[in-house]
Amino acid sequence: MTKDNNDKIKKIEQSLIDSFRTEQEILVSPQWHNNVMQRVKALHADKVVNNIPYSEALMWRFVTVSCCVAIISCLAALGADINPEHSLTNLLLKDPLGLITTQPFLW
Amino acid sequence: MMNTTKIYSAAEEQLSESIVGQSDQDVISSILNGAIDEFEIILKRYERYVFAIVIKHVPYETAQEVAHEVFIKIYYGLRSFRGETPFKHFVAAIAVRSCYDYWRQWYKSNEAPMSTLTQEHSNWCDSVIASESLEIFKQSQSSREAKEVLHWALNAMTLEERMVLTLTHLEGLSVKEAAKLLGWSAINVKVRAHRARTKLKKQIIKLINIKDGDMK
Repeated sequence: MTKDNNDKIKKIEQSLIDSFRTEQEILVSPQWHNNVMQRVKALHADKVVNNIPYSEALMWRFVTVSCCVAIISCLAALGADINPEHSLTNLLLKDPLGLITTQPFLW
Repeated sequence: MMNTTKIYSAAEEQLSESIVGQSDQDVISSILNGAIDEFEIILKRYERYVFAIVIKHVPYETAQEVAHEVFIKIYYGLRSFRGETPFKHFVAAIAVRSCYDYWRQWYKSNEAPMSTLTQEHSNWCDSVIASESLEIFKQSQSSREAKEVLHWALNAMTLEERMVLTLTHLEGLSVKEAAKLLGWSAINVKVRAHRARTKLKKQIIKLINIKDGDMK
């Protein structure tokens, strides 16, 4: 590249840089402000509505899982032809201590 | 380009005066505690700053839309602001990354046609090269053609090169500052800046070599 070409490149490059740095102003309408504030307020309102405490969410998850486990257990017992009265009587006769310890869980 | 000054209403002036004493951190704490109206203080305080960044990086007609998104992102990011750096830096990073997102969408959609050069741009190029006096040189800098040529040159670059070149070479930020704004490593920025500058030079050579009737 010749020195002359280098000078040309430098001149144009500098001109482009200076054009980029030229201050530009933009007219911001009050409508633009209102739109931003409205959107922020709407997002905030959504957040407040959906803001369920973690402990509450955890409790309802536990309830759902427990119900599901109970239903599955009942279906499994039905499928295996288990009669709760017979099995409890058998347990009382064969393993009374075991039955007592399982009582709290049964209740 | 429109050169306008913003006219604040009396109520707005009053609000501006009332917020002078409040630190950013206080305002943020209030917003996080539910006083959402306080966000207007952030909006008024950083509106000009955000626009000054955005208007340099995205086309003029989309600046308001991008600035709107910047403030929404600021709102979402308030909880993550730790106060270790000034809030202004936090705002600047969000603004620059929003501009990056804008260009990412633009490159992905590829809907907008690539800008083309005309005889006017070639004439502008000649006038810059031939300009001897400072007066003529300054006139050529601020012309519409200069901005269009810059846009044409930047369109030839990848998204990453475009952002890095804009921040380091055009805006004059250091590699470290640009890396911080973009959330990239300094080495990454340095390598891309070098590539981008080489590409810019190639584009300028192309521009010089463009002859009448051979516009690209």
